[in-house]
Amino acid sequence: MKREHSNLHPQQLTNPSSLAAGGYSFTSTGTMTSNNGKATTWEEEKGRQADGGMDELLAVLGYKVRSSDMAEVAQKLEQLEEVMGHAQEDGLSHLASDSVHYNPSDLSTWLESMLSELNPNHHFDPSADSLLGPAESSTVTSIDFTDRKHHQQPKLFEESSSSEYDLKVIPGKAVFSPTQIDSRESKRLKTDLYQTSSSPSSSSTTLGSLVASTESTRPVVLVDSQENGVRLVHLLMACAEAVQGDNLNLAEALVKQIGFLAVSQAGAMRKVATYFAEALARRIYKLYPQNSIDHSLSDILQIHFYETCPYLKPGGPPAFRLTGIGPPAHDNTDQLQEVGWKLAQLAETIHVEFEYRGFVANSLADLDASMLELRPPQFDRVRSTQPDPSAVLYDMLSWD
Amino acid sequence: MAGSNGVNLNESKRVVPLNTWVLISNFKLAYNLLRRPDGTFNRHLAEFLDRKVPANANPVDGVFSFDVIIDRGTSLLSRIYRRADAQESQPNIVDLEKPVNSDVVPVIIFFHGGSFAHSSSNSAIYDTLCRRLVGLCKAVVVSVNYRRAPENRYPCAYDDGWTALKWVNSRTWLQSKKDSKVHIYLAGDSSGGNIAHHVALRAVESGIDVLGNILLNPMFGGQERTESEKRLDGKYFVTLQDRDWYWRAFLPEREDRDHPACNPFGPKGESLEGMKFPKSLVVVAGLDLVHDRQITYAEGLKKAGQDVKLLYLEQATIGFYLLPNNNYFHTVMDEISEFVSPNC
Repeated sequence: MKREHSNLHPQQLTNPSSLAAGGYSFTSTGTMTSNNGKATTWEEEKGRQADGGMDELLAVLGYKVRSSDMAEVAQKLEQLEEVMGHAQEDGLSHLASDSVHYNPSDLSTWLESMLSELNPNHHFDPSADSLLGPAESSTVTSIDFTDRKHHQQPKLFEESSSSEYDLKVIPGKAVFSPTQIDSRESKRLKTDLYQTSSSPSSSSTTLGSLVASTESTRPVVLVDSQENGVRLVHLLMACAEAVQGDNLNLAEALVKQIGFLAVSQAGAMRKVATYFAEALARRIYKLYPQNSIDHSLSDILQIHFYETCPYLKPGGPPAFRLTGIGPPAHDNTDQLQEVGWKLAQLAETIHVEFEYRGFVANSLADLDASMLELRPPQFDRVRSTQPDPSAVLYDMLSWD
Repeated sequence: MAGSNGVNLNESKRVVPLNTWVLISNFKLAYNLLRRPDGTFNRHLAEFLDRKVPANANPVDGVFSFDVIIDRGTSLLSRIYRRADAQESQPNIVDLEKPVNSDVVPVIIFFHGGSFAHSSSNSAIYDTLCRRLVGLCKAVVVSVNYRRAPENRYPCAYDDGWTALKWVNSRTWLQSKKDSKVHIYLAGDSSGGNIAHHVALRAVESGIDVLGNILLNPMFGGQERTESEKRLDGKYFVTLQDRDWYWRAFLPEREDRDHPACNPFGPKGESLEGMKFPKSLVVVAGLDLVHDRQITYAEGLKKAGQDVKLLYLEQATIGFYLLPNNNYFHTVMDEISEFVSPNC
């Protein structure tokens, strides 16, 4: 495997003229003008200051830290190390892959974001701490993309530099519908690909170069399509937390991502995620329905909800008694019994208290209530339209 | 404040300036995120976090740079740094490889550090260091973007170094006027220092002249734990655990740390006695946990009758040469300047 083409279009980080302004200067005798004498300790070190009070030496190396913030940044580093030490070993690579990574040049903000990832009590307000104005800062999502998986089709997310949280998705090959493509953006994407892949190489090489390539400070990040489901769940949780914590800026940024990712899913996941995203968006943007919901209605909604998903009922699922009624079988099979057995097995695996009885009857008219031994209170479902008793079960248990 | 594994974080804070502490601690923590317990590496996050700078054909402080492809087969790139002529404001493309203009022009082939896994030629820390070397030594610097572990294990990095050496040696525009030969020095820090040693070995065996080796905190190791490794484990930014990880990532899969790549003068190593090995400047930081290994290396060269100067900097930590804010930095720069001086 080859080296990624990280050199071809590396990120423009420091303005060359800032280097000339005094990041370092080299005289022919090789002496530096600062810090003559013995090495200064951190208590004595004041640091040279350039524009905006930035530490010049770190600026040359790509890190923007105000000299006056140095001690605080050091403190955050210590905190982060402590917190990382407590996390499990595996938890660190999890952190790497699931975090939203902020601009690494803005050390203070990046550290804050990492701290808030690991420590739920740590309050993080990216807009407050960020050194960089909206034009420069960008929120980046970094996804773990192990080299083993490079046969999968990755998608590309590009950050817009117009606002700190404004994320735009560049559609990948087969995932997003054509109507979502902004034609200007897709052209830019193509251009980047042509510029950066100059030799036949593995997909991870090309993508690796895209990570570093850009004419502006916008980093391009890769997303592994298979991990989107997990990512979605994390995003939903994070967004809900943000809403609960009244951190609406962050919640808004996250809900946009959720919307995009939800569309990339299929089936039930897509539906559920979309519903949640909508609900979260309503909370965030305070889009409440015109007529305020009254208590009785919300009670009814709750009842319906727990009826549909008894698993989620506080206190766990109710005991389940099923009476299977079917016509006599013409062969030697006892379908009612079989169905009962299968259900009993299923009930055991999902820890639902289960009782089954089978009744053979030619028609429902042959039964009377006393035979069924109805016990209050309970929810009764009687379906008589299905000739096949096993169909009764599917009816009862299907959630769609 | 004690760290979670009993490490006293204040110790490292006491021995380096605060901004150095911030820089190296940040690397340490970021790198912790990148190494996975199963030996794989989060390359994409690594590239995202690495602060990079572009090449710049416009001279800045008298130095300009440009990237070249040395080998298309392996996508081997290098960044070349040169001194700008006084009158030159904007070299155009033909000027980039203009023949060097002096009797003697040292050409330093530089291998960046990163424990074989991290960093690139366009990493800001190494771009800055290479620019310094140009002015310091009045040299051309060729920074090799070698293939990294764990995706590319031994001997890829050495192969790339060797390819770069052959390339440099065959550039007529790099020949010094005095003898129409390229005056080559090999230099590197951490894993780069290790690479410099092994490339020099190949040079000797193939008859290419290397005038000197400059090894800054070179990365060596061994199966046994040395005294400094045990004593300094976790104290100054580096742990044995991470060292082990990087060796496992670089060395062939069933090899241990006594493999000669890691331990050149160890039980599986060979003596350099009788070889025309280049003179070496070995810079050792006293607070680098593998400094015993580096000293052993220097002694191994000496025992084999080779010319070696050991510069032991008692209270220096890893990365001291990245920021010009300490005395050791200036000492080392002076030594390098003298080492590469045409007068030697």
